[in-house]
Amino acid sequence: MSIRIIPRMEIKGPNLVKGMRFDGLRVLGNPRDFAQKYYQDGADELIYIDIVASLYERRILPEVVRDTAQDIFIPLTVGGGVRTLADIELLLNAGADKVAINTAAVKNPAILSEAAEAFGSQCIVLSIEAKKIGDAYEPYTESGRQPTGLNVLEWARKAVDLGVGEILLTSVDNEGMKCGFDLGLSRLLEGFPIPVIIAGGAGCAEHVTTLLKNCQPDGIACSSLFHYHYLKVLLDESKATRERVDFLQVHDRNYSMTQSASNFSPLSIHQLKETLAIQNYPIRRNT
Amino acid sequence: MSGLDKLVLPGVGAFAAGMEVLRVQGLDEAIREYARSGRDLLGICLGMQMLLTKSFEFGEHTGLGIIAGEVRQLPRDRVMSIDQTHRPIPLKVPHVGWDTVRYVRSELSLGVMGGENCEYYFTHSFGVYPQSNDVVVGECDSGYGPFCALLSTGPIVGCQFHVELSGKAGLRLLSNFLSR
Repeated sequence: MSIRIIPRMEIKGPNLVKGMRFDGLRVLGNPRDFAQKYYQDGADELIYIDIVASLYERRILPEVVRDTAQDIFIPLTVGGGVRTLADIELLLNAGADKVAINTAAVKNPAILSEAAEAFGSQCIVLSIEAKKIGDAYEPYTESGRQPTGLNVLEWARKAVDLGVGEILLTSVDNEGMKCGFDLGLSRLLEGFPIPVIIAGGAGCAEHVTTLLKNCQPDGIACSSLFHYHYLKVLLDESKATRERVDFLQVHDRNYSMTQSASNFSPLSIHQLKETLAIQNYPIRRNT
Repeated sequence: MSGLDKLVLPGVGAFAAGMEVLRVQGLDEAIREYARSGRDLLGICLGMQMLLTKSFEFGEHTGLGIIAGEVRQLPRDRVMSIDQTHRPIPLKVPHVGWDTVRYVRSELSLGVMGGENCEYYFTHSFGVYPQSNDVVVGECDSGYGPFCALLSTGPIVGCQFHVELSGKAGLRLLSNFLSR
């Protein structure tokens, strides 16, 4: 089975945004433009996640999901502020194939079993956003702001018992930092009975191969690594986007840092897949 | 269904619940009658599984019986690989992700030629095991033992993978079904 390469798209309102450790969010553009590029270039799946929705007691906008899902024929995982079965149904009807839940599941774990029973395990994803505290990893909610007092491995095991079909495991410490994946966190769920997607920290192809040398995730989610490559592509195609990038260059601390970070080398999904295929990792190449 | 010349039966979820929805609306008999009339029918994922005689998902349940055979759980006792500390990593069930379909039979009307080596997106815990190998066009085997990924007999087609989520390869298959 192929390792899934998944662009992770953080959404705020109608926009694609990117921050560092879920903070200092900057607008990159229309998520649909990026999603189209990702689909055309061989993404195996997309993740749309409104990382501040729970914090503000909002929910990711179904119209953003609908707008994207209508001409993208790969799985779409959607999360952000999902609190009730009605929220899940709304997002599935808008075109999501899976729904990711973090905060609401910590507050009320029963929602996981109720959701799995109502919609099937295959579409319920537990999102764990973990921080390293001493030698241990603790799940956080509300964009990495609220500690839960839980333990990552125990929480993940409980979620499997509750019927969750997949786990999205994000390092809050490395998220947006382009410093590589947190290998200790990634190895925690090695050999887990359900698929695990690792996220947070990819800044170059080597970060991905280092992860794969250390563990066997079912999927790898990257954001900055792809976003900043395709931002340039979109820029070349449209003048409107050039204004956007000029703005980013002047005003966006993250963007300027991405320009100066020595190990940050954004690339296309196709380029990453070719790199991995040469090293004999199982990768889907025919699209 | 008298005015139709193509029918797609998609589906996600549990077998018994899916069949119950069809039965309550009288669609089970309507679909059987449609299939008997020799018009094109495509079942996707649970929609493919429901074409079979019966399923053993949470008990034993009768299917549409359009294709002779059974739907059984994928084996849960297989080992996927060995990790760095020589610990066996068990195969994951459900089977989720992109996998290769090995064509055991060339089916020109689907544009499916043996050896094309396309990958499709799967998400399922149960597999289709037809009574006759003659209906099997493609198999998938990534450690679970071979199960039927694509079947075709006359106007009836079924795919275990989600053709609508399998990128351009999936759209090609869908387009070939629509234009045959």
